[in-house]
Amino acid sequence: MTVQDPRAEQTIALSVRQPAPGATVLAVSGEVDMVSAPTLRDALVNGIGDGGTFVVDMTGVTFLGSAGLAVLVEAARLAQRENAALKVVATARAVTRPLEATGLGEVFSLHDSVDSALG
Amino acid sequence: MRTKTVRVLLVEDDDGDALLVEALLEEVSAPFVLARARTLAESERLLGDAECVLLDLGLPDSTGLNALHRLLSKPNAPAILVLTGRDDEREGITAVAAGAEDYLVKGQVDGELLLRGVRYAVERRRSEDAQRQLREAKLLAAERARLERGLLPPPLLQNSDVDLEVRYQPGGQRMLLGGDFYDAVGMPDGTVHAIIGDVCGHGPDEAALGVCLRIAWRALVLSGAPPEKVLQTLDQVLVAERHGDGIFTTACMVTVAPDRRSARYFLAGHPEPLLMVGDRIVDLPQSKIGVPLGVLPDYAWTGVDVPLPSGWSLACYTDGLIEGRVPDDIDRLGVERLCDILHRHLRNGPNWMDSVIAEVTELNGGALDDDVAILLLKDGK
Repeated sequence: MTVQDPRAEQTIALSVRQPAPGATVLAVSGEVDMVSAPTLRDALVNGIGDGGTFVVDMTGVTFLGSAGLAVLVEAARLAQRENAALKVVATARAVTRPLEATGLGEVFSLHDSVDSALG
Repeated sequence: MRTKTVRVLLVEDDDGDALLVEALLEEVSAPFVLARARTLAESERLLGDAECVLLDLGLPDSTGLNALHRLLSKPNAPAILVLTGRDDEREGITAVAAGAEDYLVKGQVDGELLLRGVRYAVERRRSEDAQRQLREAKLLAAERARLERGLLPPPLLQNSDVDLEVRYQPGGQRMLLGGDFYDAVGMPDGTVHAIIGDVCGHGPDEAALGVCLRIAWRALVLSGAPPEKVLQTLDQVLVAERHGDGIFTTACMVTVAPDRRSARYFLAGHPEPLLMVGDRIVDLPQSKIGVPLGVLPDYAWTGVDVPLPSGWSLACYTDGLIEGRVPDDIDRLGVERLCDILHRHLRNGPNWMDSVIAEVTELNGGALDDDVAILLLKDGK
């Protein structure tokens, strides 16, 4: 699923796979800003509702704004309520920097690869 | 003078009556483009192109004033003239009371009267639309003024030797303010407290929450609550007042000592302030950035103490200033590049805020997506 931001011609691309029973990986790429964040939110809410381990792979993210951070915070809350394990793969500077700058790095379970998140 | 063509939609199921209307308009060479619908359903499909509707109330799929109400309920509904039979004049009067511009009695109207009726109806509707837009603009301006008073208040710094300058620029093409807020309060003992905050998201809910947090902050500070406690209480206020689970707020709170030679700042997920002396940007002590408000329950934010050299100024800003795009780079502007820009502008004197915002906006290739707020505290001694 690809959502086009008509203003900046930027896109967010989301793809979902289930590498094992009870485990879901949502790969996100592109810019997560106020235009694309609602799409990410829908995908997270739908996926986390199923319980189990939910990995958000943000390796391909080139920008993570406060709207995207808010979506992750909401997802973390939801995961807690649904007894799901939310894990975030953050290696790109565009993702690690805002997480550090906002102090939100300590809120999420951060990993440097999908394998380590699933392990 | 060339007469403007008017797009008219005739809603009439009777072919004879429709022919009569067409003949009357031809008779006076009316500059109209006439479209025809035989049913209410058909008229709804054609409505978007019409500036005026000639509406017969006796349609096969509508009774009484139902058709009129339906068409008037459409967004940007055009002017509507009701066509009535000789015996239905009372219905015409009722239709005008219900929102039609006028009514015309079939068989008692000639081409001139029909032409004038349509023109008057269209002009009246244009005038009403202009009046409505003016009212809306005034309401918007009043709403903006209310929000501005709430989010961007006059600081309580009378008789203080700390000078304060502020800038606020709404993000994108929006005229209304978002969730950025700031405030500053001078205490009787000479201490000056200041805050800048950013509610994540954009829109009236975020702006209202920003106002709520700013007022709560001012009340807490004026009541003498210690800075360490202020953020914890603000956190509770935010959780109680927010409209969604993921809503958080970043904030930077600064306390300047009465002697103006030291300050303590607290970061809740917010960019660090920038300390400047002359045209130099002074490195601040490395500090652990606390999480934003509304994220972790019972979180304790810790302050960072910083000495203030003579002639200091301290700039607190929201992240809209560093999240702008940069030509030929996938990365956003960021703090380092902001400091490079700021350093260059500081050489031209202390009035750097407008020129820095202008350069950041230009690098972005137009209006910044996010709101930008800057609060600049300066040594006035």
